[in-house]
Amino acid sequence: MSHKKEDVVNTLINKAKIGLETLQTGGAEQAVCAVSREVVREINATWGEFSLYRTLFNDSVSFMAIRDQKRGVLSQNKVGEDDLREGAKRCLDSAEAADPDDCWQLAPEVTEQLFEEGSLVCDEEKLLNRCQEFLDDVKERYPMICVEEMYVSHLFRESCALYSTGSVFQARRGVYAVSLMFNAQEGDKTSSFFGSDVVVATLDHPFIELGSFAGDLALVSKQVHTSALEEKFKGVMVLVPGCFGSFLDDYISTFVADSVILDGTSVWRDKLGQKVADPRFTFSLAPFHPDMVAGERHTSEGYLSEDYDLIADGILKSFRLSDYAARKTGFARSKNSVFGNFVVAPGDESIDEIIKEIDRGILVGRFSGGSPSTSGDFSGVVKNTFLIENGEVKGALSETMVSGNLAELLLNIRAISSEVVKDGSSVLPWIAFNDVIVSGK
Amino acid sequence: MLQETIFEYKKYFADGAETELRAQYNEARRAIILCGQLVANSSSDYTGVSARVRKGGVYGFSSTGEYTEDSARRVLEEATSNAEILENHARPVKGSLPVIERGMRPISETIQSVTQRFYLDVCRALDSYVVEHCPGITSRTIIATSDTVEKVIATSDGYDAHVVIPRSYVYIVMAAESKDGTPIEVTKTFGGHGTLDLNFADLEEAKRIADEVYTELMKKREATYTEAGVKTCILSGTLAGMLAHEAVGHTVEADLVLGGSVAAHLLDQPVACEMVSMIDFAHTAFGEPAPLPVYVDDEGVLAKDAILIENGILKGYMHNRESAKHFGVEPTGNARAWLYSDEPLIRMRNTAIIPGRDKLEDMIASIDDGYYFVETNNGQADLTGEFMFGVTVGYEIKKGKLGRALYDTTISGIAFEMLKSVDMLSDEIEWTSSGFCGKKQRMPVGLGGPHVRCRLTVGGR
Repeated sequence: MSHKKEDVVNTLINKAKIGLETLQTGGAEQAVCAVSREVVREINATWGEFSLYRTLFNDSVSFMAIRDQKRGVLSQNKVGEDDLREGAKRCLDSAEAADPDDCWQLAPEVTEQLFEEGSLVCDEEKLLNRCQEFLDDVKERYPMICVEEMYVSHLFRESCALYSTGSVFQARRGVYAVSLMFNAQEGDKTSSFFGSDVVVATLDHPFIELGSFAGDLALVSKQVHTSALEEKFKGVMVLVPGCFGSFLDDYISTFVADSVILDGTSVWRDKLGQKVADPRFTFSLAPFHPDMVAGERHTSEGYLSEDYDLIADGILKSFRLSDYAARKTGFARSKNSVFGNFVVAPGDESIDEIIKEIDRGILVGRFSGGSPSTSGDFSGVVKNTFLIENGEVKGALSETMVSGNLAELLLNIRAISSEVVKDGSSVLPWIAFNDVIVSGK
Repeated sequence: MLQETIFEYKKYFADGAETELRAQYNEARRAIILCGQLVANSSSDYTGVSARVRKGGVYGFSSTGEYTEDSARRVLEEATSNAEILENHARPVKGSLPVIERGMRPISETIQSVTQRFYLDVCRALDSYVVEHCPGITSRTIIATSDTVEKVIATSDGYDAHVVIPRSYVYIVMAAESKDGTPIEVTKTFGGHGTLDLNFADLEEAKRIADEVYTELMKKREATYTEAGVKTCILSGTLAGMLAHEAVGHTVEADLVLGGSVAAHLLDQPVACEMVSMIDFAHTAFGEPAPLPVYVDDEGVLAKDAILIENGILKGYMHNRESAKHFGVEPTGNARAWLYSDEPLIRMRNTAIIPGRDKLEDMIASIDDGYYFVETNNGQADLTGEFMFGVTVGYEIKKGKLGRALYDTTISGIAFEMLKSVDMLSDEIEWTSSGFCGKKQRMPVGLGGPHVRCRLTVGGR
C-alpha cells in the first residue's frame, strides 16, 4: 500500500480539480475542494506491555460551496471520480437549503504554497525500539507507575486544497505523537490517573526526555496516599503547565471564540485594547513558533496563517474569530484558526522560588471541572494535587474543590515561572494565582 | 445501506488467528442557527473496512476507506503482518481466547438519509418559535444533529452481524442576564434512537421543551449561589445517569479495573446501600428497547446485560473477550468501535441505576435544607471513584419545598462512599443518550436513572 510521491501529488490535485470544477459548474460563485491521503502507524501498549499495532489508510475530501450567498459544507472519504462529483452535488444541495448571508467569503488569492515538514517516512523499527525503551524507562525509574495505555503513532499526511479564488495549498507532513495514560499504585491503593502527550518531528530523543513526561511521572508517583482537606481557605493556586493549558482552552471558549462574540455573551466583548490580565501576562497562538511541530499554515478560508497575541502585557489584543464571525461582528479576524499552539511568555522566577514564597496554597496537576459559566465562574475538583504550606510542597490531597472566576483569575496572577514545558503543541510555564477559594469536605 | 459481501471474504482469514473483519458506515449531519443566523450547515459520510487479527495474545489492525474485496483482503494481510511484527516484540505470549457462541444476527431495521434541508427547517421553525414566545432573552441557539452507525461484522469464531444504530437530537440554548447582570444560560437536549425525520416529524414536543428552557432561564434570573459543603441533595434522572456512567461505570470497565481502579478490590463487597442496583443494559431495559441497543459487539460477542451492582453489592465488570479470559468469566459484549478505523474497546452501552419506589414530591418534602440538581453539562470521573459533575440547572430545597434557582455549580464525591448515602430512589427512570463518552475514541452511550436522594459535596463561593 505505498505510492510514489509524484503519483500521489498528481492524484490529489486531479481529484481536487474534479471536485472544484463540479462545484463551480453547479453554480458556486465561491468554492473549495480539499483532498487528503494519510497513513497512520500506531503502537499501543496496555498495562506496560505491547498490545496492538494499527495501520490506517485514510482518504478524505471536503467541499465548501457558496451559491447566491448560501453556504454548504460536506466531507466524505469516498474519493473516486464519481464519488467526488456526487459529493460536490450534495454540497451544492446543502447550500441551496441554507439562508443567504453575505458574510461567507473566501480569502483573496495567495500564491501557490507547498508545505513539507517532519519525518515523511515512518521508521518502524526505531519506533518500536523507542516505545520499548520508554516502557522500560518508566518501569525502572518510576516503579510505582502503572502504564494504563500508551499510544505512539506516526502520521503521514498529504493534502491539496484548491480554491475558486485561484489559491492552491499543498502539504506533505509527517509527525510522531506520544500519548501516555498512567497512575501510581501501592498495594490496593491507586492514585488519580494522569495523561501526558507530546508531538515530535523525529525519533532523535528517548521519549522519557520529551515534554513533561519525567515531571508528570514523578509527580504522580507521590500521589498514592492522599488526605482530604477538611477546611476552606483563600490561597494561592499553582497550575502545572499542562493543567494551565486546559484553563487556556476555557478562556478561549468562554471569552473570545466565535460563538460567544456572535451571541454577545462574552464578558470580554467590549474589552479589546483594555487590561484583562496582569501586565506580566502575554498569551499567543503561535503555529510558527520554533517549538511547535507541524503547526497550521493556512486557514480553511484560504488565508495564510500567522502567529498572533491574544493578550499582550495584560492587554486584550484580539478575539479568536473566523473570517465569517469577524465580518458578522465588525471585529478583526484572528490571524490563524488553531485552537492550540499556545505560548505564554515565561516569568523571572523559578518554580521552586515561587513555591518558597507561598504561605498557603495548592500545586495542581489536573483540574476536573464543569464548563465555566458564561460569566467565567468555574468550580471543580483538583486532582494530582498537593498542599503548599510555608513555602514547601506537602502531602497529596483528595476531595478538594476550587472555585473562582476566570476573568478575575488573570488579574490576580501572583507569579509566572521562568521554566517552560515544550510538548510540540504548546510552550507553557507554571503559573500561580492569588485568592482562589480552596475547600475540602 | 452496506452490502453484506464481507461475509464472503472470510475465505481470506489466516488460519489459527482470531479475526474480525468489519465494514462500517458513519453518517453525521448538523445545522446550527445562532441568534437567527445559520452558522453551521454540514454533513459527513465515512465508509470503510477494517480487520483485527490476534496472534500470541497481541493484535494487528488495519483499515482503509475502500469497501471492496481487494481492500478487505489487503487490510487482512496488513493486520496479520502487524500482529506478527508485534508478536516478535511482545512478552509473554498468551494462548487462544475461550470459545464463544457462533451465529448470525441479521439486520433488524433499515434507514434512509434525511435531507439537509430538513435539519435546517427544524432549526428555523424552533428559532421562530423561540423568537415569538420567549421575550427578554439575550441569545438563542438551535442545533439539529444526528449520527448513524451501520456495521457489517464477520468473525472467525463468534457471531456475524449486520447492525444499524441511528440517533438524532435537537439542542435548545437560551441566554439572559440575571437581575445583577450576570450572564446566565440554560440548555436542554432531546431526541433519541431514530432518524431526525421520524423523531421530529412534528415539533409540538420540541416547542414544549423550548417553553421549559425559557421557564428555567427566567427562574435562573433570580438565582442564588450554592453554599459549599456536604449537603443532602436530590439528583434528577439525568444526573443519576451521569453518576451511573461516570462515577461507577468507568471504574468497572474491566480494562480500567486491570489498570488499578478502586473497583479492583471490591468485587462481591458492599459498595452502595442495599436499595441500589445498577446494570449496563445491552439492548433491552424494563421490557423496552434501550436507547442505544447493542445486540452483537464488534468482537462478535452476543451482547448481554452486565450486572454491575445488585442490592448494594458489586457483582461484576464490563468485558471484552480478552478481559473476560483474564477474569475467567463470559464476555458481556462491551467491545465497541466508533469509526471503521477504530479498534473495539470496552465501552458502556446503556448504563442505569434501577428505580426504587419513592415519589419525587415525597423526596423533596423530606429535605429541610438541601438542593435539587436537574441538568448537567459535563461529568468526569477517576480510577479512584472520585467524580465531578457540572450542574447548570438546580434549585434550593428549603423546609421540604423547592426554592430559588441556582447559578451553575459543581458537585463531587467518591462514588462508592456516596452510593452508601443513598436513602431514596424514585419510581421512574429518565434516559439520556445524546452524549459521547471519550476514551481514546468517542462513543455514543445511553445513561439513565431515577431521582436519587443522597449526600454530596457541593461547590460554591
